[in-house]
Amino acid sequence: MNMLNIWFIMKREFGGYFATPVAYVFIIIFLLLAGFSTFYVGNFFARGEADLYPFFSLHPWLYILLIPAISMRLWAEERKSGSIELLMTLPVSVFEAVLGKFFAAWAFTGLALILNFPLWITVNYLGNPDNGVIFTGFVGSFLMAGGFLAIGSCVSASTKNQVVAFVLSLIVSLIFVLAGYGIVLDFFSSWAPQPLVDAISSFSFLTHFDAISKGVIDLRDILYFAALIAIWLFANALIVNARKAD
Amino acid sequence: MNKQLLSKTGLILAVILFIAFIIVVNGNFKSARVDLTEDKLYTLSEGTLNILSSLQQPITLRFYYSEQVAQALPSLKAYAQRVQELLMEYQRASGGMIQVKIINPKPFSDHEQRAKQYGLQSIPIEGEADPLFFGVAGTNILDGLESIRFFQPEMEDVLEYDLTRLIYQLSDVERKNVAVMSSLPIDGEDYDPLKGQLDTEGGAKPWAVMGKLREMFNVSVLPEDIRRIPSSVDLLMVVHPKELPDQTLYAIDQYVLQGGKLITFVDPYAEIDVPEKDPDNPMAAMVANRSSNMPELLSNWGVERNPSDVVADRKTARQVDFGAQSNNQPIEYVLWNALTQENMNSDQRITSKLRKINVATAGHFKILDDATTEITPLLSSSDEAMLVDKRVVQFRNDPVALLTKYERGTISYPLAVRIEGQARTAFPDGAQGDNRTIIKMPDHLDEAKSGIDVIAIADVDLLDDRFWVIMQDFYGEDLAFNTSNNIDFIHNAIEELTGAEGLISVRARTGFTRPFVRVEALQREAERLYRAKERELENKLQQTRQRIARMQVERSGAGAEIMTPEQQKEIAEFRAIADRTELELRAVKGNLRKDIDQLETLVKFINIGLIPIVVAILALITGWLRVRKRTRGRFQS
Repeated sequence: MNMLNIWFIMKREFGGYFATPVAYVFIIIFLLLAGFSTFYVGNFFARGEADLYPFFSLHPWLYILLIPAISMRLWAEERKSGSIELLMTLPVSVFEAVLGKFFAAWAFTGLALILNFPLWITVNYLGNPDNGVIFTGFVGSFLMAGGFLAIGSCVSASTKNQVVAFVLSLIVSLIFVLAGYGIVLDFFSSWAPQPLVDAISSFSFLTHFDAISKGVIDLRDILYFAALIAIWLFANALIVNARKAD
Repeated sequence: MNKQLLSKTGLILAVILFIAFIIVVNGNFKSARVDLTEDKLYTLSEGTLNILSSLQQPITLRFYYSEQVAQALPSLKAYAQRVQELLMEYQRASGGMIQVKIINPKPFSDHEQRAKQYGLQSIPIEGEADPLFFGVAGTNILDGLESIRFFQPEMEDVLEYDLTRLIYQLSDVERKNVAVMSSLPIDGEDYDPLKGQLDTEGGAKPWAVMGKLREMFNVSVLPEDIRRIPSSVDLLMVVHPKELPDQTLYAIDQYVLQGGKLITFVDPYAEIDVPEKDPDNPMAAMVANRSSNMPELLSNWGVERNPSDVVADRKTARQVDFGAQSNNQPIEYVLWNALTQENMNSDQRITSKLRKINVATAGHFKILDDATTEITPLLSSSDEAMLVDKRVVQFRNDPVALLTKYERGTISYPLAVRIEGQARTAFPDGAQGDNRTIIKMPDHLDEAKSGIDVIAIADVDLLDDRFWVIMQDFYGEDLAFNTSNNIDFIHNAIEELTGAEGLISVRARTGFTRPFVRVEALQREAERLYRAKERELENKLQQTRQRIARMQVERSGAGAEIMTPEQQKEIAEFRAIADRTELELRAVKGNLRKDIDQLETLVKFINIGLIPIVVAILALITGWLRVRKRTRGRFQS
């Protein structure tokens, strides 16, 4: 795998986002929603606590809605317009293309996340927060965004229709958030062995995100998100490869 | 083999690999983590490590956790994992002295039976047939048993403290003997410590502080007319000494000179000392003495507790809602103070790591010029405090007036002091006993053997439940949630004085809230600016209304049907004044929250609107630049 190729694709893709107003609109919607939910759903000001709990606790639900909107066009658009053929003629491997596109989308999400920095300044202005906890909150949120993006990227590769990609990604993401919740586990525990049920519950985004955003970066949580991203991107590459052969 | 088949096989293999990887990772790598919290909330503290390394005998911790039942409760599952990992951390750090057994008590099994015998609590979970066990029972080789009946997720902050305390209680350290003497029913009325319950129905319960002391020490209660403090007592706690007989004061004096440790709580106005109401004489309750002091002893030790003043401190004042008295809004009550780290002595182990101590109508100490002892303040007011005569509170407590008349001072008053060093007896000739005989102990000391060590605190109310703890009923058991470090302060003081290694450094880790200090400051400033004005206007309004009423009464008394034009004019003028004042008053009330509301609006705008607007402008600029570049390119071509 050639890192330079990945970097090249990533740069091209990242720049591509800002070629159309879509990226700006996405960032604006993300910031507005994050702000509104923090202040009006999470009651940030009335709570009077110098932490970012109301902000981070709603991120999984924000991402479920917004990340499929970013990821849906990653491959579906290319396939529909046929530009995928052009991409495949370039001297880059499928894996490099998948990674490049993914990193571009991830960096873009990271940018949107970082643009929430006034909240960090605000909370430091109003009180004396535990900045270590806030830092891990951002790390956890960024990793979780990566997980959602990897799912979305893979789903996008399997269809030409962006709307279908959006809906499918949303459903799969929802499953990954809800895994660990009673309903999902009950379904499995009726027939699956206990270790598998345990494993499924440990697949929930929420479990790992909550753990990180408490202020502790655990190797297991990092490895979880890393492995999750890896498996979805691997599947993504396999699908692109298979479709290329069509 | 075609490519599609290959990719399908690859995908299935990858999924299996992924699941296996997650399972393996979750089972291992348990202590590979970085704790980035400011107070290292998730790392074993030095105090815990010290206690673990000094263990002399093995301890077994049985962690009972009904795993299947907990499946329905994801947040509890995460907490259970944290508890389990922390227990493992204890095992690892104890060098083999602690053994952790993880037990999943199946219904009707021996394990379940055993868990119940250990006193663990099982909780019924909605939708689940079996109850949930989630507690720990610790045993040592001497059949000692201590348990945490159920791990409350809300008490995650103090998890390490609770576990370390359990281990400490099981270790073979000798428990110190603490004796308590009080004029208040601190240990409840007719409370039988052996039975752990009240002898009579409806009697007062022991204060929560007693339960907390019993967790760590052997606690006994001494009568107020005692002639001698037993030498087995390691530490004496004298709470609210009201008119102690001379013989008791003499006993305390000699106990301290002999090297006994003392903590005393002497209050100019103890709110908790509520006098009994006498229906025939309602004034009796008002004038009842609610102060306590030991002037004879304290002055000999080099300090004096001023008998008449209480400390008012705006900087540390707590927000209290006095109902109609404060317009049903919480206002700063300058006599109730939440002391912060700024008010605590950071050089003393007792107070160095505490965060918040609540006191109420506290007094203060004056260090005497001729003191032979060394006196170190432990708790002090801010340097903006002022003194208020306690009669102001006793006869007509008006929190709004206190606030409006508040004048910022320049002195910081010591609220709790540690007294060490040489001191002489206050009773060189012995003391008068019950039957007017003079008592002089055979081993009477005129001077301390090797220096005294006393802590004096000018507030009793900090021991009162409502200032440091919230009790909740949890399946028939009283659960205590600390709201401040008051009890930690007492525990630390006892451990420090008695030389017990104890849990001082573990206790310091208990975290509390991090409030919006700036909003609180704004609120303080607004109150300062507007409360006086508000009061002035209210008085004016009331006077005007009274004048109008009086004029109307005079008119009807005079029997005149119709008012003279002068009278009409006068009433109209007064009405106009009343209306104007009311309007002004409303504006002033509105102003109380004005700055905070403005800040809220600003903060909302910056966090919701500002960056999106900047991004939108940026988008427009780049869009315009692009269009311009394109058109120029076209033009040039």
